[in-house]
Amino acid sequence: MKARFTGRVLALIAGAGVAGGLVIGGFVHHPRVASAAADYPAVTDDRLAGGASDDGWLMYLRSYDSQAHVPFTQITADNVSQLKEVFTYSMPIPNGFEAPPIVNGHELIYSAPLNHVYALDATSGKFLWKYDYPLPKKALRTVCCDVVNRGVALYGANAYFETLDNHVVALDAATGKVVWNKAIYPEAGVGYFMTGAPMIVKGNLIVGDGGGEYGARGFIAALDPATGAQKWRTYTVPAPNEPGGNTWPAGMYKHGGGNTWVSGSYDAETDTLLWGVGNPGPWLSDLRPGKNLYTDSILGMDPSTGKIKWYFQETPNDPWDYDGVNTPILADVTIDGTPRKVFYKASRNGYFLVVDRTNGKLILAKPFTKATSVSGYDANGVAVENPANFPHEGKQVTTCPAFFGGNNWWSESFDPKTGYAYVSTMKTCMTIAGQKAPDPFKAGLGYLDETFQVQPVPGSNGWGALQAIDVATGKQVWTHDTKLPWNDGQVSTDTGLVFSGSPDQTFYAFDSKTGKVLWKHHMSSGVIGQPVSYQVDGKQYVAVAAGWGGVSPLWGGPKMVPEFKSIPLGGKLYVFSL
Amino acid sequence: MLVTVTAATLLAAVTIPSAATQTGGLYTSKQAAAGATAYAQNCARCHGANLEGVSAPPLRGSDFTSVPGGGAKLTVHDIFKYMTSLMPAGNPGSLTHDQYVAVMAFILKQNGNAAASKALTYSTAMTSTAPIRK
Repeated sequence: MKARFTGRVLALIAGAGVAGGLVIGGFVHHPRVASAAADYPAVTDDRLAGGASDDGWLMYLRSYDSQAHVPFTQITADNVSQLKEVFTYSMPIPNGFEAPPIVNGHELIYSAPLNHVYALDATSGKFLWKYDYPLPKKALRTVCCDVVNRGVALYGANAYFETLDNHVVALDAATGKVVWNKAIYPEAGVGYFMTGAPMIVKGNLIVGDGGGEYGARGFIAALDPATGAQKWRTYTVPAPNEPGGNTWPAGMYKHGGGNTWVSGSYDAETDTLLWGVGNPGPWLSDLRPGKNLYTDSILGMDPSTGKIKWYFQETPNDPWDYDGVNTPILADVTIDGTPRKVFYKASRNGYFLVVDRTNGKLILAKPFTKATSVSGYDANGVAVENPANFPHEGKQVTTCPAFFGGNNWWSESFDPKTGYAYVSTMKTCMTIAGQKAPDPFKAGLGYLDETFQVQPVPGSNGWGALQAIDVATGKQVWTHDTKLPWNDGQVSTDTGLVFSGSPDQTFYAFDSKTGKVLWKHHMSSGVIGQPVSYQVDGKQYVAVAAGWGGVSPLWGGPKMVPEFKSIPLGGKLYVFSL
Repeated sequence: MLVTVTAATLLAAVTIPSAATQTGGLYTSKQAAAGATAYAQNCARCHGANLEGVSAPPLRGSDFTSVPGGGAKLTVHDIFKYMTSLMPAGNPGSLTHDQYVAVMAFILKQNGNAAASKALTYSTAMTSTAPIRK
């Protein structure tokens, strides 16, 4: 089985080389410049603010509230069974395809693994241009969880993306030509790497970083979209003299993790940027007693200055790798008879959290999967952690969820009509141990000082589920349980549909109220790409990339990983319509 | 499996570290040959058939070991401890001690270190401060 797997991977790589334009190693790149798209409509602040109702899909989760929800009415519960492929486009890279296709006017831009960017006509798949970023091999030293990228951001005439070697690149969206290329960190492969989709708010191009497993001190930065010049940088792990600095023992902040590798949200009403923060480093919490702010938190920030206004911490002094990076979704819901402005997220730690987005105060917390590391939240909104489930030095424990959740990086679409959040769930536990004689930080090496193995939830009917959760109560409304973990985001529609894909090569449309499967389509690979819907010239499309990879096949362990062995690799964009 | 590895790591960790600064002569040719096989079966899918790095890092050359600005070099201990506790990623700690030692020997060979007549042992590999590349 391993030989077969290897053969397929090698064939894909060889094929890509012959097809041209795909770079494995080295600093050479081959930008393809076709004739410019006839009309590339400029992406303005107003259009971004109105992302929810734009015909296109202008940013990672469509709109500043990150609801990944469309108002289009052409595709309904009654006719979705007629959905058919309009075109597909192969991107022969054998790694995880996590990005949404980003659509503006007639142009679709796909940011593929290893920093290859494709532009196609959004209605026909006709090739427009391709950009191959010259990625050095040494960048791979400190990349966690597959060589992915979560998409371009659009502003003005440009498309922006982050690279695995810590650059941000601006391309002219119509031609694929490089406008500017800036290093956000001067070295590759010594801890930092970047995989997220940038976000533009009020003329600030906002980017995050990765590296929580490699001792990289996390930050969020804002650049000038015209030049790439830095406007501000806020570290998520404060220095000793900064607010929150006293929640770390001396010196540990320098390699404290707290990385910011998934896009945030923006609340225009309060002018607040909400951004998630990842796990503390090293994993072994014995080395860093204290709350370890602001790891595993959502920050409320001023987007013009980067100043932190408030925070909500999901898991203090975390030894379980429960990153708080997954995007906080902004929603207005009525809770106990009172209209509330909230954000919600299904945390890595197994709790569905609803928080007041004006001040960061917890409103409700309810497990959405088996959770034993955290046993609840107290009256002050502080997590109550189970002392017996800490993997201290030389001690092994069994606890739930596993380090990768619960829930992980993907979206949790909100349907304002039902008030439901759609939560792609992993049912997991783990054995996890603190290492005796832990090693100090060393650049270019993993900085964990723990070992782990993923375990199933005892008595579980499988590794995964897509759940609908009523945001106002945190209660499950329906669940679609699966043998394999669910690792894909969703897009929901005003017409009562939720689209999402599974590792078993199926892309589904569910009835958003009941969870009934209304349509499904066999795909060339497992689906972990953010699905989207857009309109061009009055016709509605649904689009998603297939292309299995990501964290589960890498780190899912000996009980989960064999379940993926027959999934073919390689990316393919699918575009559907009636 | 996890408990066994942890126990071995405990045992190895309390041994007085080797003060070796030269990496040549740490393994035998036979070990490196066995390591080539174990590598192809367990590591090549992510690290590349020629250790060039695919979705995981390269394991040879300066792309593997270079550290900026005079930082501490990667040692045999650094790599061996990481490998035995977290690799192969799909089943950490699942190889035998002999297999891990063989892969370490193979990696040393691929990084320009000469073989010798004395075999590498698990406990030496766990504690050796010899650099992977001089």
